[in-house]
Amino acid sequence: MLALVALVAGLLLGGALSLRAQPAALGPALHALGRTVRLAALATALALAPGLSLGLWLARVADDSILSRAVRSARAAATALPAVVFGLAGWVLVGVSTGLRGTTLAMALVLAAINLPWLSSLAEGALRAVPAELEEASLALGGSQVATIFRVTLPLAARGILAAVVLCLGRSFAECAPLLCVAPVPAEAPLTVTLWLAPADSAEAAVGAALLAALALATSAAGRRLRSP
Amino acid sequence: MSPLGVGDRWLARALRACATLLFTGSAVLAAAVLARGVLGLIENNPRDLLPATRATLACAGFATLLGALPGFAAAVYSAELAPEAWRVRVVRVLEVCAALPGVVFGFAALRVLRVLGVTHATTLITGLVLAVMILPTVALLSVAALRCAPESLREASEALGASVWQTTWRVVVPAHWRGLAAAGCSGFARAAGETVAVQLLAAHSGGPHTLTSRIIDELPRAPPSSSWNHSLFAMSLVLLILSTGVVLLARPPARSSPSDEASSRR
Repeated sequence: MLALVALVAGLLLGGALSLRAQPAALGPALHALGRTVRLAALATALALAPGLSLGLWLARVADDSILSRAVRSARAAATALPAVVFGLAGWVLVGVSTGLRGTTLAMALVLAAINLPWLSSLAEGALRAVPAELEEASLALGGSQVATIFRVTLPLAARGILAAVVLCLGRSFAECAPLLCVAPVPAEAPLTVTLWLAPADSAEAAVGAALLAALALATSAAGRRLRSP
Repeated sequence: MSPLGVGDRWLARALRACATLLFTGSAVLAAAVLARGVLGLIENNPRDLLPATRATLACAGFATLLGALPGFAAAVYSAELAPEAWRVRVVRVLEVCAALPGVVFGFAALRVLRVLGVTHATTLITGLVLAVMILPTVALLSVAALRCAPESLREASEALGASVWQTTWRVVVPAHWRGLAAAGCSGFARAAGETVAVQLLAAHSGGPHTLTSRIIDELPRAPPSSSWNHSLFAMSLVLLILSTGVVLLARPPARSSPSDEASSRR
C-alpha cells in the first residue's frame, strides 16, 4: 500500500520537478492531453448508443433466446480479451479501408470496440437496479412500454449509466497498445503514445506521466462520486 | 417486463436489430483475426511460438505469485480488519492505482531501474513490475468478493466468542477462497495481456520478449499478408486462448460460492 502511494506521489512530484527545470515541456504535454481527452470523448460517444441499446435489450426486452445467450457469452469473452487483440482487429480493419490508417477516427473506433462490452454490461446492471415496482406503477397508470423505458427506467438509471461513461473515459485515457496497432506513428498521438515514444529520462516523459496519473486520480474520484449516492 | 405490447414492438425490433448487427460485426472481425492466426500456425512452425509463450507464462506467473498475496492482504485488511475510516481510504488508493495506464508503470519501472543501476531487466524484474501493476486489480476484486460475505456469518462467529481476527481467518476467508482465487486469475490474465509496460522494458533494458511485446514491436515491420505478419496473429490466438481459459477457469467456482447461492435464493 505504501509503495503504491509512494508510486503515485513520486510520479506527480517527478513531473512537477522536471516542469520546474524545463517549463517548455508543459506545452506539448498539454496539447497531447487535449488530444487524449478528444479521442476518449469520441470513443465513448461512439460506444454509448450501441452499448446502451445492447444493455437495454438484455436488461428489459430480450428473452432467453439463442441470440441473447450468444451475445452474452461473446460479451463475456470480449471483456476478458487483452487490448492488443482488439488492436490487431483494428489493424485488419485499417488494412481494408486504408483511408482510416493513422486517423483519430480509427483510434476512436478501436477504443469504442474495447469499451463497448464494459459499457453495455455496466448499463445493464444500472438498468436492472431500477425497482420493478416503479415500472409496474407506470404501466398500471396506462404508460406504454416505450414511455416507461424513456420516462422511468432510463432517468432512474442515469446515474449508474453516467458512472459507466466515466469508467469508459478512464479506460480510454489509459489505453496505448491498440492505438499503436492502427496508427504506428500517429500525427494525433494521445498522451499515452507520446509518453511511449519519449525517452524515459526526458522532462517531457516525466510531465506526461504526471499528467496521466492526475487524470487517473480525477476519473476515479468522479466515478466514486457517481457511484456513492 | 417482456412480452411487449403491440404498439411497442418497434422498440424491441430496433434493439434486437442493433444487437444482431453488433454481434455479426464483431463475429466478422473475430473471424478475420482467427483466420490469419490459423494461417500463421500453418505457415510457420508452431514451435516458433514457444519462446514468447514461455516468456509470457513466466512473467505473468511471477507477477501473480508476487502480486496476489499482497493484494489479498490489502483486501482482507480493507474489508475486515481496518477501522471504518481506513477501509474507504485503502479502496480509494487502490482505485487510483488500478486506473494508472500501463505505459506509466513502464515509464516508472525504467526510471527506478536506472536509479538502482540495473541495466538488464530479467524475467523476474519484469514479473515484479507486473506484480505491482496487478496488485490493485486483484485487491479490488478480492474486496468485492469479501464484501459478499453475509453479515450474519460474521455475527454468528462473533456471537460464539471469536475475535475479529479469528472470524476473518477461520470463517470469512475460507468461505470466500473461490472469489479470491478468481481475483488472482483475473490478475494473471491482466499480467499476460499487458503490452506497453513489458514492451518498454524489453526495448530499453533487454527484458523478455513476451507475446504482447513481440506483437506491438513487429507489427509495423512485418509486411501485410506475409507469414511473419500471420505469425503475430497466431501469437494473439495463443493470448486469446490463455486469457479466456484463465477467466473460464475462474468463473464456474465463483458462481457456486456460498454467498452467491445465498443471494440467488433471495
